[in-house]
Amino acid sequence: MRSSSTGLVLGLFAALSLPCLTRAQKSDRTGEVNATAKSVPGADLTGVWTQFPRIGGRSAGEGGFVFSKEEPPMTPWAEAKFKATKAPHTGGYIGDSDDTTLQCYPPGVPRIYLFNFPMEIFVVPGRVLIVHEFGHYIRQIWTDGRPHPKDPNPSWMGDSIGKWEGDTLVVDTIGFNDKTWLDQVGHPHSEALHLIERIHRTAPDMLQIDFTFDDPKAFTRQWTGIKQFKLRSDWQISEYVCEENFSNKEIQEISK
Amino acid sequence: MSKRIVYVFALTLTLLACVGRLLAHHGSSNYDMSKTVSVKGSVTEFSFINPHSAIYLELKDDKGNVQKWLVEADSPNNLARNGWTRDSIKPGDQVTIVGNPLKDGSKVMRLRKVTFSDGRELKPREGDDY
Repeated sequence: MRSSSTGLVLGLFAALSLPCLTRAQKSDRTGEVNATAKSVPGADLTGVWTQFPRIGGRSAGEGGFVFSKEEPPMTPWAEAKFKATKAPHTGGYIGDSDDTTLQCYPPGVPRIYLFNFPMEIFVVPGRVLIVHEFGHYIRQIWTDGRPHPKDPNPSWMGDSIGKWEGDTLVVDTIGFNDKTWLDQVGHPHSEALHLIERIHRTAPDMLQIDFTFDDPKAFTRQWTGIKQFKLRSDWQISEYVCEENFSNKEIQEISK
Repeated sequence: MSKRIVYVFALTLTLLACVGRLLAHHGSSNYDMSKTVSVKGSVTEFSFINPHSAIYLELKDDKGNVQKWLVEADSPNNLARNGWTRDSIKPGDQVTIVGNPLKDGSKVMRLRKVTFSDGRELKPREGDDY
């Protein structure tokens, strides 16, 4: 009896101390990358991240084409809009579609997370920057305590402010225009979309974003989604110029 | 540590299990993902540009008529991460290309594999089947 409880205590100690050991290694690495990293909270989010898992080279699972296994709880307005959407962007690039990203318009947030291109997170004083390879869109998430503007001009990426809760960055975004799809299958949202993202590492090389979608015009209630990413320290963000495709006449012909 | 591995493993399995259902429900791709075609021909052009690279193939059918195929591939950013360069395929290369054809039957496919005349293979990305 006594030896088994000792074993239990030792086992618990080992289990509890191992995460601490890996955490110590983590902060040494980020310290190398940026000398001021230790003084900036949540530096553990930095790195180049790619969608995970990938099945057949495509970002897959719940965070593949959509953010949730469950269909969003759409209002009649959103249902009608969704039904009228032509040819969602779930396969090849060619064909008749309402998807404006095919004409190189921005995917917006959060849809940009669903494109099979990595992103790099930079944590600097007062801001977190997310550089997306797709289209080279940059999100500025203000962490200096400022509030949202009172009446933000509707934009493709929205206005983002963030605060740290331990190692989790809680991002609050409003000020979206309604020109984007929420996801790859064309679920709509309105300018009233209020997006919360909880961004945190779940493992040394894994990132998770927990989404809360709140849009009284499009959804009957709040709902949640998820997306995971894997660290790729062997990758760098490459250039991506969507308009290059316009020089490819054949593809243009087929996709008109 | 082992608990975390178990959790990550379990989560991965769960996500993988969801994929089949999701792809069936939302996969209204223009390409017929249940079919593959194999075309052997000569490369006339390789376009290594975003958002999708393209390989142009030419071949002669049994009647001696020229057939032209367009093979759509991934973004050069992703191809490069799997070892491709803009010179990986050159005009004049004799290749066999396997891909998923467009549903409407036109001579367009989504690349799955290139095999050169010397037996070398090129796939667009990691993964066993794409």
